[in-house]
Amino acid sequence: MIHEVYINGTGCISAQETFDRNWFFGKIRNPEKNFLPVNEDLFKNAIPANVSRRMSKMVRMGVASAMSAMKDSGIEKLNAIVAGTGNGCFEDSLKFLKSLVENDEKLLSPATFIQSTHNTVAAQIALLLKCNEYNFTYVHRGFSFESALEDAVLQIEENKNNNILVGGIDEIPVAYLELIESAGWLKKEINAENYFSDISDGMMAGEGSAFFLLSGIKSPSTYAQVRNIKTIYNPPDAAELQLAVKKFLSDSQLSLSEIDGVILGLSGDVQSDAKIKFLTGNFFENNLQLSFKNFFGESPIAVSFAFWMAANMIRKKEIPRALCLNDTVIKEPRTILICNQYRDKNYSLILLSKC
Amino acid sequence: METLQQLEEKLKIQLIQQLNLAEIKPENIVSDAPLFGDGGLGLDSIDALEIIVLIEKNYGLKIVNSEKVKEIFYSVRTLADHIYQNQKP
Amino acid sequence: MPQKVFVTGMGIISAIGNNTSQNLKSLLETVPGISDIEILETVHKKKFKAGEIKYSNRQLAELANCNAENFTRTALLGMIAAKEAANHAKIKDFSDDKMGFISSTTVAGMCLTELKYPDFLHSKINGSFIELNDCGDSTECIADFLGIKNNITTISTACSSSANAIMHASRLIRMGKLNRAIAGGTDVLSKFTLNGFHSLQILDENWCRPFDENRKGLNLGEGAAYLVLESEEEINKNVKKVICEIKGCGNANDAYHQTASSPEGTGAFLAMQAAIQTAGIKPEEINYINAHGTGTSNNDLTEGVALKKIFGKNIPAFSSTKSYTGHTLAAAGAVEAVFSILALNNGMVIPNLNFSDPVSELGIVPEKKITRQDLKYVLSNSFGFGGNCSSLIFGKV
Repeated sequence: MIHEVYINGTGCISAQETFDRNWFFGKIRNPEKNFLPVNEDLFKNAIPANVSRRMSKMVRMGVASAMSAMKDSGIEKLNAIVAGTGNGCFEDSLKFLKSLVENDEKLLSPATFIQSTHNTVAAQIALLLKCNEYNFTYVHRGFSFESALEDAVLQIEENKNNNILVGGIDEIPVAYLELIESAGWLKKEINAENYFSDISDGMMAGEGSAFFLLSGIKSPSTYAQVRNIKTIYNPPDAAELQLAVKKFLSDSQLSLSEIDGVILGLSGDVQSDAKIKFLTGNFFENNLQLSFKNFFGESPIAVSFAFWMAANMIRKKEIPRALCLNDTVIKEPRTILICNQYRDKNYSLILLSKC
Repeated sequence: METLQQLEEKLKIQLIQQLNLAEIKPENIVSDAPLFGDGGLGLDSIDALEIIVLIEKNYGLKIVNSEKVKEIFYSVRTLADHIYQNQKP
Repeated sequence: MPQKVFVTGMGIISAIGNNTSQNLKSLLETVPGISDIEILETVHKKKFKAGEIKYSNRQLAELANCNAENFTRTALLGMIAAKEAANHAKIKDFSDDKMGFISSTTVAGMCLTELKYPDFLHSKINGSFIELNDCGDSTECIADFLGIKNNITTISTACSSSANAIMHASRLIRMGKLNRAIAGGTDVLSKFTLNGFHSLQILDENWCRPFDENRKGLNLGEGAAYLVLESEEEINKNVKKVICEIKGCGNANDAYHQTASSPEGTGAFLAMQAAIQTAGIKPEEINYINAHGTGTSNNDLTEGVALKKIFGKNIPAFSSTKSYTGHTLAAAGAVEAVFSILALNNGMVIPNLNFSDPVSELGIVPEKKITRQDLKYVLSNSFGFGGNCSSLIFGKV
């Protein structure tokens, strides 16, 4: 269990209008295809042109959401920057690779190569903030954001005065979309109105970035506190997953009835969703169940959108009806559990509560 | 064969494209103003490498990143001059 | 109460050996592993030298005792090195809840993607190879290979990656979150990185010359290395043989430029300072520094500047071992951790090969021959793109 780790600032760029702090599932953008891209117009002026010229969309999203979280928190001096990304700066990687192939390893762009390194976003944030502090990037698939979060929590446990900027970023460039579509990862058609009633293979890809300012000290801008985090690698069946959730709740000194809402990492892919789907009917059946990937799409760091959602729900004391998968009514969400999975291998549990 | 001035104008367009200088127009680039550092366009060492690629790709001239590069890359004019002098007919 | 962190096992595969004792032999006999490129298919084959491991993927799979078809070269190297480390530490229970695995890589599955992508672009194959492309793939392959079930993650911070993996694992154990962890990294030669570094014009066409006035750049290398770290409590419980202590670590960001280091060597200075501070020792207690020393104009100058700032006129014996293995990118931190520990426990300073004249701005001279001396603390530096600077200090037990 975690004590005294507070979310004091948030910044989120996604397929929805999350960059606008006044938006909270009012106007919702419904998916039309099996991919939910970020509309860059929504944060167009966040980064000066002379700085953003070399940045890929991934880096622009990461930097803009990080700066937004900093501004939201009012913090100026950081003690660490910790990022998580599953695919890294993939657009530049594929651009460099394509050029390598087409030009027979000649006359290649150094800028594209440099921008393709996985820690570019965290590095760019440090550069802009002139921050010489600790700077890590975690790159483990559906654990990338969770690992970054765990690192940040560790640092706050070491020193509660630490202000840590932690976030997740992933992009879905067209070249990558083509690859995963041909590999059979994506849904063939999207039923936006009844996304989860569609029993088919494939998920809908999404992209974006969510950054958070964490600290051991509460502030007027505090959203919620982080109570516990656990990653679960490759559980063999739903029973194992259920055991892990039970143990997690016990470690958190909470009973299931004290959970006001469970945000479920259902992606729409029948196979990946199976274990969590089982829990919805056989463990969480009396809890309010919420979804997020039908609004944000799936990516290794999609869980960071759930984190953003939970923090905002707790602070705004509001549960948008659009997120609800069942009819359980909760007046005020005080404790929220995120139960996520990525490609049925990386499962995680994150607990947030009102402070 | 194009004049030095025509070459300079062409270079400005190519630089804007290669270096992603989206907000800058060719007419904003002064031919003899410094390209690098705070006084001029504010280009850096990565841009220098990109320009080396640009020159080889478009003009067939190989430039090794040595001390001489600073002189050749000082401004659009010095760059155009170098290409003009060394370009194969 | 913070736990002390000790190393109980090491594993390595590099251009100078398939395991720890082979690597030690090469270091003792001053036999470098940088040669012409033979296995990697590239148009630059004859132009550049590299620290290439002279085994095909099939041969590596035989060494690892697995099927070559299912693994990238990155995963195979990692499996071999991690297995050696685990055996060395005599780990019995890999599935324990307080055991973790922290790996790192930069190339990841790109070594496979770059071979398959042309066929995909010509619609000859589908994109399923993308499953093995990301950084987490090799980590999960190694975890599955060893039977590790919990606390698995991957770090990628360019050339400081595996030093950071060791740092993170140390922190987790120190704070009682884990009792034991395997930490390190793996990286392979690829067309992608060879061409990438070539586009930056920082490759030497001959043998690299770290800290030399006439250095021209780096040689790339490939390899994997892992340390087994355990808490003091865990070691006492199981009566394990200890190899050395992780005495201190530091990570800082240069925040100057994406690839070039600041002239003041700020990031390097801060990382070393943090490592020395967390170790609770004075700079003069460090006996040997395994430098990052890539052989590039920029790194060796700025690292030298930082060394002078920390140690003043009394810079301890230092060398770069990249003249043996090449620059193994993400694996460098862990490869050089193993070398630092071998130096520590064998009482020897490893020489800096290919050195003639000191960098004129610095006037500092690395060790040129194997020097036998009692070593108590060894500092190892790893500095990566994005200004990511890390330093580790190993203490003799």
